[in-house]
Amino acid sequence: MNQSLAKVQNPYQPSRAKIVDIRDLTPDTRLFQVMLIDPKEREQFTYRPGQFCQISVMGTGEIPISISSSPTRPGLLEFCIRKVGRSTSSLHRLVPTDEIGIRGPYGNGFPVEYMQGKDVLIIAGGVGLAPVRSLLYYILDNRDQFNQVTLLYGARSLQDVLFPAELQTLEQHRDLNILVTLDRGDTSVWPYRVGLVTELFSEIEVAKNTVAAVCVPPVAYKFVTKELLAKKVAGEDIFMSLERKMHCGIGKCGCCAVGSKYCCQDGPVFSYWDALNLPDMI
Amino acid sequence: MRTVVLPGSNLEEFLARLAVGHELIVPQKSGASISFAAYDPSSEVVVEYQRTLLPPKKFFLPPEEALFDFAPGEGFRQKPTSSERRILFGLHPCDIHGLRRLDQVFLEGYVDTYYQAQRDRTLIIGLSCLPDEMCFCNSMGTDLVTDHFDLFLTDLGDNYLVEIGSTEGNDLILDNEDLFAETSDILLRKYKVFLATRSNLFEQKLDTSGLSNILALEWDSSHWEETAKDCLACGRCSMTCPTCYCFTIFDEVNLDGASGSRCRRWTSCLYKNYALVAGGHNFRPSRGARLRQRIMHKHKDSVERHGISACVGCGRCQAHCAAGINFCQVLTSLRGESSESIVG
Amino acid sequence: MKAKPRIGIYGLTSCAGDQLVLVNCEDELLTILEAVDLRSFVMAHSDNPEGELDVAFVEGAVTQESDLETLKDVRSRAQILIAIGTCAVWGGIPYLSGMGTPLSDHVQVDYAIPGCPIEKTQLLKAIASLLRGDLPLSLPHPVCLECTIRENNCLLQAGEICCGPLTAGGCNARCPSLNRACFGCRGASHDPNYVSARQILEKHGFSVNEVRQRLALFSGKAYEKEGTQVG
Repeated sequence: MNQSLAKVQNPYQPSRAKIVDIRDLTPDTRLFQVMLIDPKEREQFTYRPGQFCQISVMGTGEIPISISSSPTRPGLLEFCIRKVGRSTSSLHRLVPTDEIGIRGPYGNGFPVEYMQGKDVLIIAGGVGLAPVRSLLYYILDNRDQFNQVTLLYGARSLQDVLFPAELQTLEQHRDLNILVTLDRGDTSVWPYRVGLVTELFSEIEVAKNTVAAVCVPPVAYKFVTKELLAKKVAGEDIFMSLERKMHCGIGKCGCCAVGSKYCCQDGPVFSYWDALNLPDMI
Repeated sequence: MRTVVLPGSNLEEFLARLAVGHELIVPQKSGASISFAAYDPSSEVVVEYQRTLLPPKKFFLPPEEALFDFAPGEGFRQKPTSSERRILFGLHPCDIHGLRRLDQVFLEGYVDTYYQAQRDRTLIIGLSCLPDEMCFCNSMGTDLVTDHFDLFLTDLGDNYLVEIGSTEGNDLILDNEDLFAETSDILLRKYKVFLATRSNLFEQKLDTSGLSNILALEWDSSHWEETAKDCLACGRCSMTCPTCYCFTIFDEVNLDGASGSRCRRWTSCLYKNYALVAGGHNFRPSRGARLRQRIMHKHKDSVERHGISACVGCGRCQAHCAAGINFCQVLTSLRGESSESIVG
Repeated sequence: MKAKPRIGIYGLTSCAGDQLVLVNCEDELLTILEAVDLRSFVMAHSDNPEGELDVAFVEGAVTQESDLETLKDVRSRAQILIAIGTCAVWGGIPYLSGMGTPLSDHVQVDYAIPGCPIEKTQLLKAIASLLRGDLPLSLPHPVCLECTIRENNCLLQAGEICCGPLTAGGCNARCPSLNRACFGCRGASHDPNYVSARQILEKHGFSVNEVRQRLALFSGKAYEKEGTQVG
């Protein structure tokens, strides 16, 4: 009769996607380059840095994974996946040309508009580099919209550093400040720092108009935000990408509830101010 | 609202006629409990009951349901949903309010098409009730209902006063006009007496004033862990709650190791691994934190998110708790603690 | 075409009831046997070439030296080792008598299918997942979830020693649905609150001994760990 009466689309329906390429990043982490099979879906798929997708491996199940690529570089979607459990192990068994299911993008993502005209301080730990990599390239591709940009990145050991070559290339950008540290390492092999990511704060100046984007392991948020607050970054300018158990991604299953918020819909990016209001957030 | 009268002696016939052309669900005795189940002519319809064990949510969000079938090369194919007209008869006001809460979750934002399909095909015929010692719907403002039903029957002795809430409900009356009579003044007076009498019968009470504010302040209360010492974490309070909707999604694969179904199943925030993420971090590692989540979500988080408490005062959680946890008492002690600390 | 997974099925000290569940999967057995390369199944056939395995199912508790030898040998040859039955998972009845220990006391167990005996449906789902290449999903809930879904009256509340809240789900509340209290034959749930259960039962008038005997019957190890705290 008319379009408005058309059946509402089933939000649980995954779209078919093909794995184009898989790159080993570390012994347990791989970068999956993925393409939606339907050209129309591919064209319509837009996203923000910090958003995530529900990725299906048929028969194994569905898991939320942040998008690692930047919307400024359309074409392939990239997902950085660490093998930690049943679903990620199943993903790691796939090879290029294999099919997966994708739903999304979901969540709010980083407030890139709000970051415009400000210094951006990005702090990542371990596989937390994945969502902020999207932000990093977004900023790089819109470089004149942002002031000074700094990335503090901590990994467990040399072999756990994600995208080492990319980081090296990016370091050579005069307008990016990148500091990488290892929890443990041999300083003769590793020309950089050894220590926790929080220790990098002593090496940087934080200007008054700084906005922070943080993605670190769950236990580390308290320590990182403490450093940021000590550097006089306002609580509402600290944006954290949080992890929670998610099943649906669309605010129905309840599993990712943090107080009155759903991590999948209202997050995964929350401000430190949200965390003050919702006591079990960080 | 248009009202008519159904003589009590006509109810049986009315239900028998509704069963023609509809899938009819009625409250029935099942062992020692009451449950909503499919009607057949031999069904013993229970019109006076306190609460069914499971609330009507099972008809809209089944305990376990397949969302898709899948097979390699064919992708995920949505399971067809029934469109047969269905009537749920005998829902108490608390359960109708429960469905309203579920509507907020499943029909706002992304529309859950499975829930929607079940909702769209179902008519609701409500039925009045009298409280037992566990009911506290009048504390929650859910003892009466003015919408979200097609018909609502209030038992006034020999007759039911029938409120008509929708055109489809009206059609049910028109189709069976011979069974109904016009409302009389006497009956309207009886209705008012019923309401007044009923509201005096509540023993269980919950002071909800400022409850969500108090809960926010009592986050670190020792009450949570103290109460959780009794909690068996069995999840029965979640399953029997008309507004608990948490579910997990998982794939079930066939013996060919390739095809199968994507399913969802009820779960409870009281289960230890509910907030456990891959990698081993548990966001709510203690039973106290999990019990707090359940209570906070009902009485605080839902108020913040939807402007209304998710508790409808049906009393199921406390009536069915083997450990005897009385949620009203837990909330009352939390309130007590806060007033004491002001005095102290 | 992927190679068929090499499977071995072993019994230590046990009644062989769990292996029997597999044998009794009449409708599915042919499909399974076509999908796998069954290397060893002493119960079903005599010619058992030992060697590398993709998946080993092991039933029974470790009660004697030969059990331990078999277990270690199987573990060394198997990619994935799955404990089947409550004896293998928790030590079961042999544990209670101080005679037997669960497999996980000795070797790494990759997945556990508890039950006395195991549930056919859970076994088949597990086999299907393994054929898919995944470890089976673990069930997060105690018996009470399924029992409530079946709208059973609560037997613990009714004053019986029902182990449902302490026991791993997956049996579709077999016994409570027949109005029989759960004996806990599937072993401990993820989060058994023995202390509370004990207090409830003592309030119902049961003696400390009666309660302990029932709650610790099938998964004494979990009871010792969680249940001996003073309530």
